[in-house]
Amino acid sequence: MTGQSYHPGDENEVRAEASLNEGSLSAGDSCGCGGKGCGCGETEAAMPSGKSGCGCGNELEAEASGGCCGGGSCGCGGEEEIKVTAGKAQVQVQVPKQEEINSKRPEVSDAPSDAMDPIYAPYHRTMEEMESMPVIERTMTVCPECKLIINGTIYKDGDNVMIRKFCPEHKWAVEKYWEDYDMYQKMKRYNYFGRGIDNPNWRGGGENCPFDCGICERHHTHTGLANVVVTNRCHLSCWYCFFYAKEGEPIYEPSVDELDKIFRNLKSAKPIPANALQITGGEPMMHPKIIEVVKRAKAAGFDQIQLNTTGIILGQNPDTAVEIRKAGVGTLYMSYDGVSKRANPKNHWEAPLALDACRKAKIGVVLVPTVIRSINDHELGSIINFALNNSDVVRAVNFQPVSLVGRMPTRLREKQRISIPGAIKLIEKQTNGVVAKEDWFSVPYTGGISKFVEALSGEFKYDLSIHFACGAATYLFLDSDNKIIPVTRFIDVAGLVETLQRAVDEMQGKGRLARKAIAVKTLLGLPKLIDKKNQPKSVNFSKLLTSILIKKDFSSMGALQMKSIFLGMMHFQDEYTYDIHRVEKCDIHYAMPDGQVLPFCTFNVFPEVYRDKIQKQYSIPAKEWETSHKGWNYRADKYFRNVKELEAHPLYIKTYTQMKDYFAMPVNGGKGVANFANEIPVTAITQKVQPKTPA
Amino acid sequence: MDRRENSILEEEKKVYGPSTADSISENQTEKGYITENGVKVRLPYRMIKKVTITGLDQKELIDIPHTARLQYRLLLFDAVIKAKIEFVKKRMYIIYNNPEADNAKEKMSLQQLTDFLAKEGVHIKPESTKVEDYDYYKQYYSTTFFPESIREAPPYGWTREQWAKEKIRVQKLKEKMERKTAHSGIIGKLFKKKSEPTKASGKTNSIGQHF
Repeated sequence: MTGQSYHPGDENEVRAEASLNEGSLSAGDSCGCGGKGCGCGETEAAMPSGKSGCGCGNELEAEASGGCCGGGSCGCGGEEEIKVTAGKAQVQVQVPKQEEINSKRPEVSDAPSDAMDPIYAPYHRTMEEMESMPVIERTMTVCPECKLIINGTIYKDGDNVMIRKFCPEHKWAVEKYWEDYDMYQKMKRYNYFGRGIDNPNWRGGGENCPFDCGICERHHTHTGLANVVVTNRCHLSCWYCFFYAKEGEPIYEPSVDELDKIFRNLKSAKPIPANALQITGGEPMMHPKIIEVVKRAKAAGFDQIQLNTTGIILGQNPDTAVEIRKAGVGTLYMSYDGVSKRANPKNHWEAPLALDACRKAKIGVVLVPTVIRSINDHELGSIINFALNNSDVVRAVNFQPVSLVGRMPTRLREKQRISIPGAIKLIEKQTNGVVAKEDWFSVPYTGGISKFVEALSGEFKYDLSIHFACGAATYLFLDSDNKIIPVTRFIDVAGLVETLQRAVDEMQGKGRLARKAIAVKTLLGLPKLIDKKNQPKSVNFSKLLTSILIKKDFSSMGALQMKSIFLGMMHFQDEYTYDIHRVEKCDIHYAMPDGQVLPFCTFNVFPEVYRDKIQKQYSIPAKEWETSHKGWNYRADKYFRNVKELEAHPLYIKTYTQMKDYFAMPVNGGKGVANFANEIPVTAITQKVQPKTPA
Repeated sequence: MDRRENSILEEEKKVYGPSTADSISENQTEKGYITENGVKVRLPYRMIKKVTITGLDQKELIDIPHTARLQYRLLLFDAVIKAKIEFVKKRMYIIYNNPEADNAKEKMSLQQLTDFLAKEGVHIKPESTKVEDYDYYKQYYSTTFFPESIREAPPYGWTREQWAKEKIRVQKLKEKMERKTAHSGIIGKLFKKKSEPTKASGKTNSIGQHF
């Protein structure tokens, strides 16, 4: 998946030090990293605050090298002289230093947080204070240290919803669960349990959940989005990522036939087989037969195929994008952590090329920013603005608040933790209130529509019955006068869901004719839920809803998408926030080479017993890989960028200098978005550098 | 390399000796595959072992959460493919890669498993331990892929009884609709409405947006 997991350090680096004041949360005291950047507090430097492009904070060098960092995470590494032999002659040439991209951890101060700051205060209560706070509900969770299944208490602390848990061995742990109490209650209202899977892949029983996974009969939700890893090779070396094979590690790259078997396994699920597939990695474009893989997925019957990629390879090879589209990929699920270089060293430079390749190939793009407080949380508004500027090709922005997988000191965790409402509130602030927190709904809201169609027709429909705390979404419409209108401003979404649910309840046990009568009565009432005065001028929502609900014609949604940007939030869990009630409702599943299907948050939160373990079983040792792939070496897989060349590319210049700031327009509040990234100095544009597509 | 801490791995090496997967011959590599319906697929194990242990002492297991953690700890071993401990039924089974198994993966003996469980405070009586051959392909791989149904849920808004009666009718109706769509064939294609233009087709809609 695209960078949503943020691992605080190598596996032997971090020993968590839970350090609430009063000494009530202490568990271990050394990280063992030797001050090499595990986040333990051995390093003193504070996070650079946007001085230079890529995040290294090296302002002078940044200027000297035309906006780049001169040796930071962007991978340019400045320049070095190397000797090149051409025939008998040996010449010295300047080439970019070949540093693996995004391989450096940004430094974050872990100086004690201000306990009075409302963001950090909930971490700094005494046990007595915490216990005096109102309990919202109880759940089951795990101890982040020893993985003992323990009780978790979800409680209200001011505006925050927190989770606290007590392990007899490792004592207390407390974490932010949801950063807005009112929103928590609103989202919770439409929570419901789905039907699960009639033919589970593993008869685990589920009493030892989450260690019985596979998927078992206890699971409540069918596969909504199936993830299939096609390779663990990657051309980047992101410092937080555990998804790719590092040098000397086994290579996991199933053959086309093995993948085909996995696809068909997913399609055999009952009663509702997976219909959306995400091909992921590593970097899936590095699978040598990726086109064939996509074709097989299409042939297996997946209607929606997404490719989870950095976009770099497609940007460089636009023809491949066309082939990928023809093979069946409809959506590029592209990591995009920020508009600026500093926030997005991963693919800031290549994103314009990738967008253009998709534009030409007619592939829709979902931008996927991983949101980390204090790293890129100031760019959420500008990412939406970027999406609106490229709304001809960008269909959605799917924000992923960081999942702090791996053990991590409390002081660092509290600084980087952000939950769905935390990100939503920042978006509200950064978009002048155009996208307000009231505009967001949890994913189970959509249940009303599929339940209604099912009750009417008797045909099983996609059922997104996930836990309300896992995801949120809204739609933005860009009207003809550039006004941005969230869907909630003209549709009574809650009213719609309630109306449909009432109809479903009424239909229970009734005959065919009675069902139809109830349906007609319900549909006639729907136009009342649409505020025609406020709806975008170009969309007739009454007609659209009718065609979806009566004709079951979802192609009308295509027309809707053309005038809209879908905004989503998906917050994956980690050991600190883990809630077993959430994981048993997960609908984002990984299909494994051994036939198992695993929910995202068991696959990634306990990789030692799921992801890494199973992939290792089906991997090829590095030595064997080298033998069977003549000429291959680890370094040859890596991508090294030429920043100067990329910055001189007309697409880069066009993308980052000709953006509109929609939020600066009077119709949208008139205040520009923070970090609006028309940031390239004019000199850079006028430089006479010969533009060419990077090799 | 799995995510277990190096210190744990080193400790394991001391106890159990060097990894059995360290040296792999070509012959062993070839054994990592199987031909299924004419297609070569990777299959890391064939004949391995399953040990079933009954009559466990609940006091030793403590409770369900501790039992689940013990299961987790068993699964941390690369040589343990699946483990299941049932606190209520006082039994467990472990599917593991025994030293005699003909594959290149990590291996572990029953004695090593027993020692580990003893270290975790769970003592096993030899008389209640049953070790049997386990065909990974037939008993595991072939059952996790394309599993059979164990229940049947009705659609929303339908009771089980109602669905049992109506199911066939609804399915027939669905098939009929599908046939109708398929039959439309050339005629259907001739009269088919032009599909909605997709995004990024380079045209502009009524509100000036590109699509």
